[in-house]
Amino acid sequence: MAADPRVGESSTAPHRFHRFAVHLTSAVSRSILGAAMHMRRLFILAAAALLLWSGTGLVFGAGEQEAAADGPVTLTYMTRMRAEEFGRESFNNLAATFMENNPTVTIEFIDITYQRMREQALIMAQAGTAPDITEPVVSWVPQLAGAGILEPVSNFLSEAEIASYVSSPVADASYEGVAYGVPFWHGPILPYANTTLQEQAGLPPGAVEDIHAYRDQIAKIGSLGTDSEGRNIIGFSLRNVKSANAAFWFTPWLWAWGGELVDAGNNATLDTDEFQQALEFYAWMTNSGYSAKGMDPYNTRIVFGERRAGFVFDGPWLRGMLRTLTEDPTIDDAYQVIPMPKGITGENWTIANPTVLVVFESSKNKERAFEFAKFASANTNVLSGLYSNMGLLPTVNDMLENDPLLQDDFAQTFAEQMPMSRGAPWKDSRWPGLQDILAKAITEGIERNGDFASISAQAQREFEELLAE
Amino acid sequence: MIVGGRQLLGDRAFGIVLLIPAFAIIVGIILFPLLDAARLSITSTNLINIRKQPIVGLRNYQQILTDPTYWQVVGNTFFITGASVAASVAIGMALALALNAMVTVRGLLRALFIVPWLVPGVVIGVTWNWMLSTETGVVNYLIRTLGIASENLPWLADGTLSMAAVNGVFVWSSVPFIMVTLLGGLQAIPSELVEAAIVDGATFGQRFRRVVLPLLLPIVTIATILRVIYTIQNFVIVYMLTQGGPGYATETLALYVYETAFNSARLGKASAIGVTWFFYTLVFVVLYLKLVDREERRA
Repeated sequence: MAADPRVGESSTAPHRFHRFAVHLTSAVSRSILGAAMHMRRLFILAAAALLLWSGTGLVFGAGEQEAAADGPVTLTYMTRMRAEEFGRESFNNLAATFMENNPTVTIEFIDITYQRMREQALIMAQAGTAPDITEPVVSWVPQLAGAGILEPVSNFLSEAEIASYVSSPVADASYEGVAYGVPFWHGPILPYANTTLQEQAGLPPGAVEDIHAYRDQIAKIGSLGTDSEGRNIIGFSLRNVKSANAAFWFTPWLWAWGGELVDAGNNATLDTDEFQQALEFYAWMTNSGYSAKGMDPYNTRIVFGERRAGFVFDGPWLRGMLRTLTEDPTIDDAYQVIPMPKGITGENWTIANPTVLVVFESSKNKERAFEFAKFASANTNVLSGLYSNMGLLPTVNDMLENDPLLQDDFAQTFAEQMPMSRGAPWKDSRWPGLQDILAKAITEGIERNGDFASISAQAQREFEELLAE
Repeated sequence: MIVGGRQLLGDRAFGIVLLIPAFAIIVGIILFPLLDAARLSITSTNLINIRKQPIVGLRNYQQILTDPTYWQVVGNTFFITGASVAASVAIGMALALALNAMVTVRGLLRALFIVPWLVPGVVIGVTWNWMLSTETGVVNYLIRTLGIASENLPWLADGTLSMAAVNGVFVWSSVPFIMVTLLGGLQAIPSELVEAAIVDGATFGQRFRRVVLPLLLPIVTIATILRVIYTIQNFVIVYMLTQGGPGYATETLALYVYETAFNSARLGKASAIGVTWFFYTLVFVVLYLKLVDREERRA
C-alpha cells in the first residue's frame, strides 16, 4: 500500500508537538503498566487490608449505632408538607422549635410529594432505608401496617396521651386492632362555597340542604357563563383526572348517592345502581360544562382561587394554600366552608382524611421519634402556627374545644363535621389497588358519558380479582 | 503474581481478578434484577408480604395474556412508540435538511433546537401538563385567543385528544435527537456526490431519494431504533401527563407494571408483565446491535 504522501511531509510545530505528545503518552502508559505489574503484591495486600477494614467497620459500626441511642441522634422525617411552598416555613419552624427543646436531637427532612409518599415509604422500608418518621394519610396506614413496617403507638404513648386526641384518627390509623398513628392534623373534606357566585345565580349563600339541591346549584352557577376576564365560570371545581386522589375523593359522592365500596362481609359492591348514579353525577357535571375536564387538585384550587368556581371540595389546608396561590389578602372572605349536603339516605358522610405521624419499625431511635411525634401533634404553639399559616386543623381535643384561635366559623364547621367523617373508605392494604379501579371507572364514565352499567360491571370484576389475591 | 519468590497468580488469573469488580457490578445491577424479575414472575409475591413468595408456575402469564386490558396497554405502547417515532423522524429529517442548507445560522439553530433534548423527562411532563391543562393551560388560552376554537379543549382528559397530546410531547422531546443525529450524517455525505447529481440535472427530490437517503439510511435506522427503545421504555412522560387516562386510553406497559406492582401490590404479576415488556424491547435491541455490527463490518 502506498504511503500517504502527507505523512512526514510537514515539520511544522503542531505536528512536532503531536509526535512528542504521542511518545510521552506511550512512555507514561508503559511506565504505569510496568509499575502495576510489579506492584501486584502491593495490590493484593491493599485489597486484603480493605476487606479486613470493611469487615471490622461492619462490626464496630453496629456497636456505634446502638450506643448512639443515648447520645446525640438524627431523626429522619419524610414529609410532603415541606415539599410544598406553603408549608416549608412552618415545618422548618416545627423542627427548629423541637431541636431547641431537645438539643441532642437533629431533625433531618426528606421532602417528597404527596403522590410518591406511600409507595416510597413502602419501598424504602422493604429496602431497609426507611426514615424514622413519616406522615401518611390514614387510608395508607393499612398497607404500611400490613407490610409490618410500622411501630405500634401503644408501646410509646400512654392511654391518657392517646385519649387526648380526637378519637377518630386514632381508630382510623389502626390496623387489625393495633393503633399505628399519632394524629397530626385533621381533615374532614368539605365543600367550600363561593358565596358571591351563589348570590349571582340567585341562590341563598352558604350551606346546601341535600344532594339534589347541590346538583341544582352546580347547574345554576355553571350556567353563569364567563367572568369579567372572559374565563368560564364553573359550578363545581371537581377532581376528575385519572388519579388515586380523585378516586379517594369520589367516595363521599358515592355515599351521597347511597352506595358503598364493600358490604359488611367485605364483598365488592361496585356493580350497583348507586355506584352507577355516582358515576353519572360526575359525568353529568363534567360533560354539561358545569365542571371542567381533566382537573387535578392543583387545577381545582387555582380555578376556585380565581373566584370562578361555585364549589370546590377540599380540606382545611385549602385556606393556607389559597392564601399562597392567590397572594390576595381578601381571599378568606370569598368563600364559606359548608357541611356536606345530605345524601339520599339523609346522612351527610364525608372522608375524614386525617394525617398521622408514624414511626417505622426499623427506626433505631423509636423513643425519640415518638417524642417528636407527640411534640409536633400536641404542642399548642406549634399547632397554632400550623393552623394560622397552613390551615392544618389540630387533633387535640383540648385545643379544638378551648383554643380561641379555633373558635371561628371556619374551624368550627370542620370540627362539627368530624363525627360525620370516615377515615378510610375501605380499610384494607389493597386500597391503593382499588383506587386505580375507581379512577379508571370515573374517567371512563366521563369519557363515554353513558354505559355506566358496563363500566360498573367491569369495575366490579376488577375489584373481585383484587379481593381474590 | 509473585509473592516471596513463588508465583501465586499467572497473568491470565490476575487479569480475571482485576475484572471481578466490573463483573460484580454488571451481575449485581443488570443481570440479577433481570433474573430475579423472571423468578418473581412465576410466583404470586405480594409487596405487602414480600418474604412469602409461593410459586404459581405460569399462572401470571396465563392471566395477563388472556386479559383484554393487557392487550389494550400493549397496543397503546406500540401505537405511541410507532406514531411518535415516525413523526419525529419525519420532522427531524426535515429540520436536518433545512439546517444543513443554512450554513451561516446552522450552529445557532442547532443549539436552539437541541434544548428539548436536554430537558429531563419529569420537567417535560410537568411543563406540558400545565400547558395543556383544560382551564388554566396556555395552549387553550392561545387557541381561544387566536379563534381556533371557541371552547377549551380537554387535551389530557379526552381519549383521542390525550393520545394526540402524549404523542405530541414525545415528538417534541424526540425531534432534537433525530435532527442532530441526521445532521451529522448529512454533513458526512461527500459533497461531490450531490454536486455530481446537480450537474446531471437531478431535482431536489431525486437527489434526496437517489443520493442522500441511501447514504443516510443506516443512520436513520439506528436513530429510529434507539428512539423506539427509549419510547417503549418511557414511564415518566405518560405518568406526568395523563397517568394512563382517561380509563386506559393512554396506559402504557411502563405505567401498567408500576400500578400492578405498587398500587395493587401484585409484584408477581407485575414481574410477568415486565418480562413480556422486556422481550418486546429486546427485539429492537437485537435489531439495533445487528445493524451496528453490520455497519462496523462495512466500515
